[in-house]
Amino acid sequence: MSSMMNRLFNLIDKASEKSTRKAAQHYGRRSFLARAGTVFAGAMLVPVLPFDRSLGGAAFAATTEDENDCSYWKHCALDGNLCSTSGGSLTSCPAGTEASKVSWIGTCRNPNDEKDYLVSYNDCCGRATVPSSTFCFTSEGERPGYRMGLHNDINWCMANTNKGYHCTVSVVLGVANT
Amino acid sequence: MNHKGACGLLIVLLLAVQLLSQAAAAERSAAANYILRCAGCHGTEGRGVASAGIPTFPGYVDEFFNDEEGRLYLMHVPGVVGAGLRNDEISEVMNYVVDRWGKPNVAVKHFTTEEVGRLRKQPVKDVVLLRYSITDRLAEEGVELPEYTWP
Repeated sequence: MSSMMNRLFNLIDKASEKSTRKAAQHYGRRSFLARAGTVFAGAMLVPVLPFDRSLGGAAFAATTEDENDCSYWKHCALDGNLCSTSGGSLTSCPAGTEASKVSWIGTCRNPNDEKDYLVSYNDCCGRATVPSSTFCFTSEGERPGYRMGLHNDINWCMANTNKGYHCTVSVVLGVANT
Repeated sequence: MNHKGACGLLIVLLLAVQLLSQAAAAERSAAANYILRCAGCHGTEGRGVASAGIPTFPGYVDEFFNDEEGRLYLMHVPGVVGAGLRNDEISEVMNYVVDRWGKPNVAVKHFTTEEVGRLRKQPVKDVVLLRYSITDRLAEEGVELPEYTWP
């Protein structure tokens, strides 16, 4: 019985040794490194490709084509009433008002071409606000009030003769990365 | 190198290129930074709003670049202080401004990142008084300066 067991173990030992030697002759350590490297590099792609770099901002969520909706892409850094719902349009002040001489400028991503655009948010000045107009507060990229140069909660009519705030337009100035 | 090794190297190279291109995309040009951080008040054409204390650039701004005290002043104007730009970005935007709106055929000294950092560290108690001391001196030398109404 014991000799039978010894023979069996010898067979298993020889088979293991043979397959190990065969593997060692066939596959070098470099092939393992290459395969492992491919796996690690592939794993790096997983968090890189679908990563949202908008820091939770509205740019990626802006999919509506409705200019009167706060989630319309050009309104991503806006704080105020839409002029398009105040008697004007997306880019022009309503009659009886004038565009502010200074403005807040932000960047918004256009979901149609995935490019970032510089958008000027000029206030329209000289009349009271329209109660039924749409108020938006997106202000993407804004910083707290103690960083005044980067803060948008300001009446941009301050440099005009008529300082009364009416509404805000969204005017594209150009592409941000050029 | 066998084909598996070459494949692994290619993937690593592609990743490096991707990371580099993302870093490059995050950088804005001086022109874009000017629009984003300066043009809200100074305007896309650099005209400013004189009545609101924002002086015009075209034809005047180079005078401040070619004056040592003027260079210190430029690094302490509220728009530069509050723009949230790095020293290298500030030097690029300042050089963009003077190249675009300085008087033609007038040599100007450009800013370097090192100089921006050094001048920003120098304390300036009252930037408006500093401006007036500079413009009074330049006016005595016969230099033409833009309208400035502050405070």
